Amino acid sequence: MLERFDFIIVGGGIFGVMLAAEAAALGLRPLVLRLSDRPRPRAETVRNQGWLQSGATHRFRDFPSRDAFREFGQQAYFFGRDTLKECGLPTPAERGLLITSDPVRIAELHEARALLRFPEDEFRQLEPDESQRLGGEHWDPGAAYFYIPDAPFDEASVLEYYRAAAKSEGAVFLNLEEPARLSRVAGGVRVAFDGYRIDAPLVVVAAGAGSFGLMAGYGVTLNGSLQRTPLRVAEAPPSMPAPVMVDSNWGWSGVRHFRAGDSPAIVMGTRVNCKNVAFADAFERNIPEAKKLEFMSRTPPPFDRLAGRFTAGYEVVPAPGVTISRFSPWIEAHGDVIFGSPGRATTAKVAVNQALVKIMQHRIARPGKTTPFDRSECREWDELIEMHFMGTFDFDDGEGNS
Amino acid sequence: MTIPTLPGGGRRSPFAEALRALLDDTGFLGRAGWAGLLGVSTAALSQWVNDKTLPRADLLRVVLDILRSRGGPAAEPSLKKFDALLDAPSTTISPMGARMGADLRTFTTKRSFLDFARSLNGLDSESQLAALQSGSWGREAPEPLQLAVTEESAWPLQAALVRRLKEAWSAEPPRFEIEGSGPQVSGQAQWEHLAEARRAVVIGGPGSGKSTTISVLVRIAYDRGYKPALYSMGRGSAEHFKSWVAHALEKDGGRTIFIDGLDELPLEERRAGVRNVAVAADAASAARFLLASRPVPELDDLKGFERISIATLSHADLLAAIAHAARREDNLEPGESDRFLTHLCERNMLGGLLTSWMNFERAWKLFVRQAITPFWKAELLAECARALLYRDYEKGLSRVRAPWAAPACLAQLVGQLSFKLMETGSRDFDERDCKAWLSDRLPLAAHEQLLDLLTVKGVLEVSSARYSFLQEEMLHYFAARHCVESTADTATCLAAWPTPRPQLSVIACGISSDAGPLLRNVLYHQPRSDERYATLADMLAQPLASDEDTINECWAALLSWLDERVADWDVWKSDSVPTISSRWALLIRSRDTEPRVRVTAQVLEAVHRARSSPARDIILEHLENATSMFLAHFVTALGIEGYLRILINRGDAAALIRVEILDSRVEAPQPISPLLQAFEAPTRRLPFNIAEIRPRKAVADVSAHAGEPNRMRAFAKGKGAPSEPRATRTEGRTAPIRGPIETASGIAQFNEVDGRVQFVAIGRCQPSWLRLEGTEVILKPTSSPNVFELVGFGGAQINKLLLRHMREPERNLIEWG
Repeated sequence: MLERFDFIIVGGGIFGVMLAAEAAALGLRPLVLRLSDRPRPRAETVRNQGWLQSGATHRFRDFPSRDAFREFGQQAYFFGRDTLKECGLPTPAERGLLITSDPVRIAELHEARALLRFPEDEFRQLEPDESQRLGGEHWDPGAAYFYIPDAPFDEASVLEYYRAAAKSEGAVFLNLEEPARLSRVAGGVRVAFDGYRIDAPLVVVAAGAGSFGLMAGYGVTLNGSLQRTPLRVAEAPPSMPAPVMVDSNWGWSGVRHFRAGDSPAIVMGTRVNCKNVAFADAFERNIPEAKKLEFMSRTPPPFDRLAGRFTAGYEVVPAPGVTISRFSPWIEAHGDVIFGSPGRATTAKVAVNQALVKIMQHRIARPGKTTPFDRSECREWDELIEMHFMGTFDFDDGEGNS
Repeated sequence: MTIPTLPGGGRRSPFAEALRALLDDTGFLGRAGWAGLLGVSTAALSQWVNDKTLPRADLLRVVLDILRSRGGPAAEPSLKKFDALLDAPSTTISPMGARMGADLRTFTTKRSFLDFARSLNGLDSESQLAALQSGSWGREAPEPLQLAVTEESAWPLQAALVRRLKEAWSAEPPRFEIEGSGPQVSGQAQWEHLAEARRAVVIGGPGSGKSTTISVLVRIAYDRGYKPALYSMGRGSAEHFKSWVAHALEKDGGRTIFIDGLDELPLEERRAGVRNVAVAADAASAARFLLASRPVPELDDLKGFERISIATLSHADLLAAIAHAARREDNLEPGESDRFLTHLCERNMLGGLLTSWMNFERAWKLFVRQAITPFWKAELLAECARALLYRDYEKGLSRVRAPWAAPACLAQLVGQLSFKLMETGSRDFDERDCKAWLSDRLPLAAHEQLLDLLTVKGVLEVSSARYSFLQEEMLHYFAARHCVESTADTATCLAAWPTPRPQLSVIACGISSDAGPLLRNVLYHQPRSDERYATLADMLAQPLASDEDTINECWAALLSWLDERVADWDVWKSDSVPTISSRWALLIRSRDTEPRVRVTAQVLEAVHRARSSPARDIILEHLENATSMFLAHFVTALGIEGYLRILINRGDAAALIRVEILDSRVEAPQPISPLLQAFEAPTRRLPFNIAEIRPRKAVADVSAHAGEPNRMRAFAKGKGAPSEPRATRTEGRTAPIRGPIETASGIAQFNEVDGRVQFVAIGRCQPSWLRLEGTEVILKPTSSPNVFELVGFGGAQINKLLLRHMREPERNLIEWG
């Protein structure tokens, strides 16, 4: 049966799904195309550290001004937590731990605290005895220990909530076998996927790592790059002092997550082998052996001894000057295509609002067009959404760990 | 709407003034800073503080959150000023107060990003854009909410309740079942009984309409001057209730206290909550207490309360609900709701599931919005399961604060539980079983909580400490989902069970991303029996994801078995059979035993169900090649939209097979409606004596079937020929699709344009019929007189078939005449 859709969203990450929910609630009917995770997981949104950021760990050098730093930090903190409230999830009360010996960094942290006006119970430098107790045998007497209001959060549950909300308002989510392609046609955009070709009046590209290729198909080169970051997933040691740890001496961070029916996992990241790549390839998650050793060498004990697997996540990074900072939402309209990247998951709400404004502007300029499509032979996206550290990927993950 | 006179006659309303103080007097950020942070313009802020617009609730919440956690002492006076307005009726603090719901507290605590979007639904694009850019609502308020909200009630009616009041049961109020030996009343008398009850608790499962019932009762109480006060437990707490009720009854001890969602308290608080209600009811003998709750064991502690259950939808209710819902949807094509009804009847297994309002509404919504009929059984089950597990989550309730209680984790736990239960073959289990089955997933202390939670959520029911699934369909669904998602190989896992579980295989097939192994397992590895084919038919008669070859093979095997099975059926023509509301009917008599005819009938029903699926073409192709007389007739039934109903006679194996029309547009439920009958087991005697009907004499024109050995054999056995020739049209000619088709009046050709095949006629050429692999192709005129669209049984399938024929030289032929 032919159904009519107002626009197409390519990408089912936090931004695409949230946008679908909001647009559907507004009375629009979006069709969301999302690359299937089977046989190989390709969704980037669930392959990150699942980190509810507070803005405290960002550096001033990444922002044009202190005001911009403050604005982004407060957006990340308050809109992130408001998103959790919206989904009925509890606001995390846990505190993260930041460790550094660099006096410049320490001064910066104190200034950041003042700028973001963190209260004492959320952000403070620990007294030496307190940090010694917390650090245990691995305590570094030369380092400063800070409590930061960063915590893990369950991004999959947020996605589940918005997907359910979007579906209940009439949005449709399809699983694609192969990546979609865009091309320019008279009066709209042509989206080709899995043997179908449909002409849409408007397409929102929210495909994360795949966005560069999609926009190139439409004849637009995005002014940014794609960065691949190796990650390591392991069983969290019971002695881990905080759910989020950032050790700037080692250049390492780790986030602990609850796993249903399993012991907690830790997702670790370093700056080793972070590189710009031309496109996201599932096989590219395979980290060379030498780099694995280097990664481990940048991990403080006891985290360097944990058994686990390597993987990698991809991040869309706008060129300097395109957005206020490289972490901020990036929304651009090009004719009948709107590109969107939320920056950080916690600022997705801000990004969605900006994208909705662009969508309404487009509808006013070109009213009344819809896309007919018969989806009876397509596969709907309705499987459970899970983070990649939840131990469900029992097939080849393209990580060399099969 | 008239703007109320504001106290003090000030330039700003109290709300706007308090908001201005938050933004300007706290010294936290300048207007530009706030605008940047909230993602709106400074002009928008100016509109907010001058009563031109009302800020979006989530933005207001962010402002409050920031100032409360970061504002320090400088922000305190402004926050105090704002907090003083929190509980005042919203219409007295802002000219746009009606937008906030009852008061500012409700406005700032509810989830709002989606609500905001929903409230813009239906406005024109310009108004939506303006609202999005300024992060606020404009002056145009919705109609004011006139509801019984007393000034003392700290937890007034929520906007959602008000909305539901308008929508739900405007035509069909719920029915109740009153426990105990008292006289049973019905209809309006039930409402009267409830409205005047002194101590009563309304009990119902998730989504059965408890809150709506309570809100209707509040309205009735208000109209009758009973001074209602409503407390919503989900938003309060057991402790807070005590002080609230004392305050509510302080001035007037004869009020009516309504308590909604007694079950919504966290598990550990529930007993205390029920006790507090009981204590309050004991202390205030003059007050009336009306409660709503899901069935929870603690309710037994409420002595002297009449228990009134909300009844599940009866079949007549369902019929009326569909008729009512269809009237409300003005974008439905005529007869569309009949399609829903037809498929509902064909899915008898869903009957029990859809007798809950919540599930029925989900199914109907899916149908209206996405054309998903009950034929998509797995889809509906998934939606209903999601509704059960996510309902609390969507309402913002937290009954158990533990990671395993998150809906996604809970789904996995229920999956494992149901799978293990099915493995044992038992229908119920106790806590010890649960501990043993979930030992690897759940902390030992949590089992009791889990079982309690699942009972409250309406997944399980408990009787004498034994738990069972409330809906058997849910048991099968969760077990199937566990099989598909958590086991290495679904087919092997199911095959390892000593006794096959057909329902499980059928659902697993429907939700699996590749049903091929499951189908092949049934086809090749299960012992050849009638039951195997019945299972296979049920598996195939639903939307499937599998490779074409497997589906083809399965249908071929099934239909050839069916062909063999019905080979000896004597067929009487439909015109000899009395038909009521049916479009097609046949009477058959078999030499088989009655149970065997029943299995065959089950397969026939499945084949008929599959007429809506992509497999239709495959089925038609196989049926075209069938040799039995019955199947030759049965092909016709596949082309008729209606419910295939098979009445099997007890004793002699005769059956009346007919396709019935179901009409949802009936005004009142008929005593013997087709739907009612469909839900009953069709074990009845035929409505006439079979001996009275004489078979129409078969026209045994053997020569017409000279080229068909199977048919010749049938003649030889004396089974006669179909009473009318199968092919009604003359034999046509065959032409390659790629090349031109020449007729006496012109030339025509198929063209491929953008992946679609068009038929272009040059001159006045138009064949009277076209046929491709036995499927009729219909030429549908387009705006251009020479170009035709091709449609058949679903345009897409025909297009695919044509494309395949065009691209494969060995198939590049079309029949026409």
